[in-house]
Amino acid sequence: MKVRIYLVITLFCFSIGLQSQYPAELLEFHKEVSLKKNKLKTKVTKLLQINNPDGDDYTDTYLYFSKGDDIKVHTVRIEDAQGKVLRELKKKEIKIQSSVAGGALYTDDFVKYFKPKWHEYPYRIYYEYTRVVDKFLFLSRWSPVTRRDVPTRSGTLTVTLPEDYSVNMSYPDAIPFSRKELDQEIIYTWKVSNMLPPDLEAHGPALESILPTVLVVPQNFTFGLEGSLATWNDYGQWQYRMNEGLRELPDSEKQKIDELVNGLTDPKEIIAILYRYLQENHRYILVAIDTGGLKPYPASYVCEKRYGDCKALTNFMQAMLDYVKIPSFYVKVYAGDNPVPLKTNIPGQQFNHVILGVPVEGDTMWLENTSNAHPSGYLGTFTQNRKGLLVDPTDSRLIDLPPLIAEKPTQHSIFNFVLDDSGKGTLRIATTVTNQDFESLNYYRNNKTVTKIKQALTYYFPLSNTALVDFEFNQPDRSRPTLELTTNWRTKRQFQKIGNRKVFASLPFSTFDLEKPEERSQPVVFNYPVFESFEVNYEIPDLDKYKVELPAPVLIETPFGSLSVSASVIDGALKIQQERIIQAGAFSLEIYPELYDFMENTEKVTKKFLIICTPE
Amino acid sequence: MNSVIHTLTNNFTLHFNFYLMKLSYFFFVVLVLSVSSSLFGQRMETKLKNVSREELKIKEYLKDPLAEAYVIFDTGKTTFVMRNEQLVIQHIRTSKIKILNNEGIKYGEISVPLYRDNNREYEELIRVEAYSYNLENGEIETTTFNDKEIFEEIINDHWTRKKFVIPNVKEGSIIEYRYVMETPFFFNLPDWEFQQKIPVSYSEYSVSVVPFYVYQFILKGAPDFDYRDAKKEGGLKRRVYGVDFNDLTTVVAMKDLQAFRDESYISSVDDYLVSLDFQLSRIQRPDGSKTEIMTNWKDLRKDYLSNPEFGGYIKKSRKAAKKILESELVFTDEKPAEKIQKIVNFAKTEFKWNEFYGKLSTQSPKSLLSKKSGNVADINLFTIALLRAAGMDANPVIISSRGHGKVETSYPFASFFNYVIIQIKLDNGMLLTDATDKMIAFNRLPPRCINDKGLVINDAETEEWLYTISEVPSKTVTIIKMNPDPDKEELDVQVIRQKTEIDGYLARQRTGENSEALKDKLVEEDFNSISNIKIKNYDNLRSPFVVAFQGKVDQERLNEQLVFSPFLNYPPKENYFTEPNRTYPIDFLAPNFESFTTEIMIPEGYKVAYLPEPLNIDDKLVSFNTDYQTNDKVLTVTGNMNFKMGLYAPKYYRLLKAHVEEVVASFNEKIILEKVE
Repeated sequence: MKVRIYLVITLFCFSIGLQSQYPAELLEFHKEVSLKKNKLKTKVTKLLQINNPDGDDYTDTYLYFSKGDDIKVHTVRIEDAQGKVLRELKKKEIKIQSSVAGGALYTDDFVKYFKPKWHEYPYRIYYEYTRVVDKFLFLSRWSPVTRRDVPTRSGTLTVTLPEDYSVNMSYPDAIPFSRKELDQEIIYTWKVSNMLPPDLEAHGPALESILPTVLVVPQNFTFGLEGSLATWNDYGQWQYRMNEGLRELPDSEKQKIDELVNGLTDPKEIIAILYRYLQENHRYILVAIDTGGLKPYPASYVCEKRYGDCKALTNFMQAMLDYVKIPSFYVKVYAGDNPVPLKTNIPGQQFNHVILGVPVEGDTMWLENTSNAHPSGYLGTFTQNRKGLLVDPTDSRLIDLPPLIAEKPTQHSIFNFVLDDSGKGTLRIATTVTNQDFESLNYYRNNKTVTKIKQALTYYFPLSNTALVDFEFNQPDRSRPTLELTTNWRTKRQFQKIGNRKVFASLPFSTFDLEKPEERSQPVVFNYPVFESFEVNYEIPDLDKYKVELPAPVLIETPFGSLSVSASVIDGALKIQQERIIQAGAFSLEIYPELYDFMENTEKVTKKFLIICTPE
Repeated sequence: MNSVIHTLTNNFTLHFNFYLMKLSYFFFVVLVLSVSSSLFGQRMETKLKNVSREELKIKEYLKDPLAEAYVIFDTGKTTFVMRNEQLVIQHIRTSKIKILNNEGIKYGEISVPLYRDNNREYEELIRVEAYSYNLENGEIETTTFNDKEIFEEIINDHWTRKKFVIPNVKEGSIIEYRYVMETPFFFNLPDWEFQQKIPVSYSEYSVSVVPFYVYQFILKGAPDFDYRDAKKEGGLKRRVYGVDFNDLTTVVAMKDLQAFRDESYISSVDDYLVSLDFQLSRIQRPDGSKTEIMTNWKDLRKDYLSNPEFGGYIKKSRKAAKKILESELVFTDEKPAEKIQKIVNFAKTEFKWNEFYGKLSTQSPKSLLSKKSGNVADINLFTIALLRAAGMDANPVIISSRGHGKVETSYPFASFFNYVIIQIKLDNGMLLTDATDKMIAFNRLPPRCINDKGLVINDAETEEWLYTISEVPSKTVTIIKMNPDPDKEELDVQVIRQKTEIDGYLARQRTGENSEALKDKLVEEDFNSISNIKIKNYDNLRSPFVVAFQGKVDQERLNEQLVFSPFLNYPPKENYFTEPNRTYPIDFLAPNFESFTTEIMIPEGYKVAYLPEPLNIDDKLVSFNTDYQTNDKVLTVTGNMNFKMGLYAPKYYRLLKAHVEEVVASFNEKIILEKVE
């Protein structure tokens, strides 16, 4: 017996021992960048230690490159924890394949990859590669931490440049910097030790903005055309020149536009008509070749193919507006649901998307040209509330793109349950959505099959023991981001039977899954408001034969948002009115406990808000 | 699965008369499975550039209003042609598709996979033409694809993909494309899929064979074609390699194929898609010699035994295996079962599986020993060598892994198989094992091997088929103790959960051995807090995988009464069988037994106010029951949920669904305690 207890204890201690370890550690990570005769050479060496099988995947190494780049893998070897070489990879174990990103049809990007593995732990992977490129907008973008779960024990970046070569650079305090002047060249060095990876937390800032990163950009560059990164205006002007001459429309297209706008004078109406023409006849497909990353395909290409990427479609939309003499601006932006703040002090290519800005009547209309479903002028979650670079021949500048605001609920739903004595019956939901909810449902409505829409709706509504029978969408006004939806469901067990009583609950709001305050290390960012409003009606047979106990109404108001729930009996049916608003904003760690409390309370209150019906 | 297997041959006999080569043809269709009389329909006209306004005006496919697009026709034509004095296979595909809505636009993106081997032989896309048609102000507007825009994507050493996009495709468009592909790989006569993810109105495949190659084909997913015809081509004879002949053309067609939409709970789409697969069965040379590629299972087994990457590999491993048994794995007087366990576990820790399946080895035994890593065949074939060196009767078994499709024993197609496992014969039976998975006991197969049957590769006279399906039930035992305190808002619970067999395997994978991570997950899902959490037997595969912890959940109340969900959130909350009906088997991997025992300590001054009705279902398929026993201090609730089979025929679906409905209701029913007045 004693022996057995002892064994259990050792097992337990051992597993704790394992837990304190990262699955893998980057022991050495060194990047040397040098510039000679306009060729940028980057040499990278890494020594990665794998501590347990969970770390095995981290040995999978992918080195991305574009056609024309010269990339060479010099050494890949497996070592034991003492550095003894166990095996060196052969040339043929380094594979190559196309690297066409999701959503793209084709890009001339490739990846070299290798996946060295060993069967005993810990083991180490050492590799070394060089890359030489002659077209670049960055000398280096270096983050010492490259993966979640993997700390970097020792890392350096050195950038060696001719003494007369001007650069802009940006780096965080966490990465100490030094500069050394040699004969005719300057060496910039950044060095870190024991840098831990950031936690991935719910609704935290974008990972790109938390990872400490060194940016070094040339003041002057050649990428298709010569350009400067001294100011945002310089960079915008370079982009303007890249786009020049690409907006010529074929005569047949001009004729089509003439027909479309014939007799119209209101610029807003003309914009809406042309935008709709774009949406209904063109689609988003990414093909990027050569300078394709930054130079749009010409408008004539889009006319022929009726497809293009964000640049091509935006340039084409701009061409159409040019033709009807409505001025517009190409605006570069870093798109994504969670905005990454621009490093405004270091002009450069910090963007991944373009939209069009059209000044109308003292205001600006924003056009997202890759969407086949947005109303004209609707700037969605993908680009709202961040800075963009307005491209102008003389006055390119950073501008603020407006935030999404929720004057009306992002979801307002009326749930009508008609149930029998067992909780079985029907449910009809009348829903009106705006903003982010509009975007996602409207995307499904326009792009997905009935089966997939049904799956999405089943997920969208917080219901269990229901089966969706049918649905109907209605968009009353195509120029507004508002959609109406009616769904019909079959339901079972829509109340709890506890003994002989029937218990009805309020419905759960969407959840945020925030960490407990003691575990949270980052501020919270809610990128746009979430405003849910539900009216829930339960009809059951012979309600008058029950004693109905209604819970007291609840109202909570905080700076982060509010909650109200109340119950009543109206016209022989039970009714619960519930509304919750979560405000958009960034909330610091100091006030996080209060925010967390509010979120927890919301959940608790809705869960415990019960109407009890006891037979009399 | 419905399948029909045929032999397709343009056969000839050679009479060695010095000047005359006389050829005669036999075309025969061997119906191995019985076929009901087939409906011979008409072939459809499948011309390009023949689009009408009426077709363009169509808004919906009446036979399937959910369809986002449908195929008007899809035809494949495969012939043998001469290229640089070599015979190659030419495959022409012609397709016409109606786009009904935005979701269907993606069918305007065409992708053609092309293979290249290690000997610089490769498949080529020779020609592409494509058009889109739209109705513009009542006129048909035709847009022609410019064939300069064909992109090549490298997938890996052997595969590339040529891609093109048909321009001007939108809601309502009709698109057409035709491409010509040529392949030097006679082993891979292009297969044909009649069925697609969208409905297909008409699909036709025509194959013209030459006398040098004989193919077998199997029709999967349907009993027969709607149209079938075979004829000798007329006109002048062709002369190839000094032989004169006319092509023999077989045309098969099917119409009105339903869209194949994703179905849940099926092992593999490939099992059920209506398609035609080919395998080369014989090469007949102009000099009269023949090579049988495979005509029966015996030959196929022989072929594997002599294959240097299979049987040859085991032989080649002998020396190294012997050496290991002399140094690292020395046996004295162990019993056979112990030896097997040690050898299999040795292989499991010595070699890391690189996650590639395969029935053939990809490297030499020497390389495996140096890299310590390999695919399924490398590791399992080497393990066989080790077992044999230790005097065991071990043989390879080729199988089709889960998701790879079923094996049709009526005909010897090597392509059915993609994985090799190990059979070891013992005096009192045999065991199957797979040395690539450390997380399952040495005498069990991981779920990826559980699919259908496997073929033992040996030189025995008759072939031996084995079933990989597990008959050993997986058991999950949950023991819960609840200690309510009427003065507290939370309820203290103790939980012990044990899982064996496949459930244990899956739980080990899902849970891991990190109790902190498990704690976080439990708190996230069901519990307010967790303490004293322990994971036991993560590595001890012969014992159940155990998770034990103490936790707190909200004490449910109704006014003054205490309410309990006796099995917490463990029973299913909703019926997982949601379809009205099923045509595919219900596959649980193994019989599955789950039991719950909950003790609720009745607090001082409280008594039981409400107990639900016990459930009692017991038949050949399942047994489900709940029961409630109480005294003054303790209320004991038990529940058993037993699926007695691993695989249920589709006809049981509705019954199982109805039973599970009762389980959901009964296992989640609540218990009430109230104050003694």
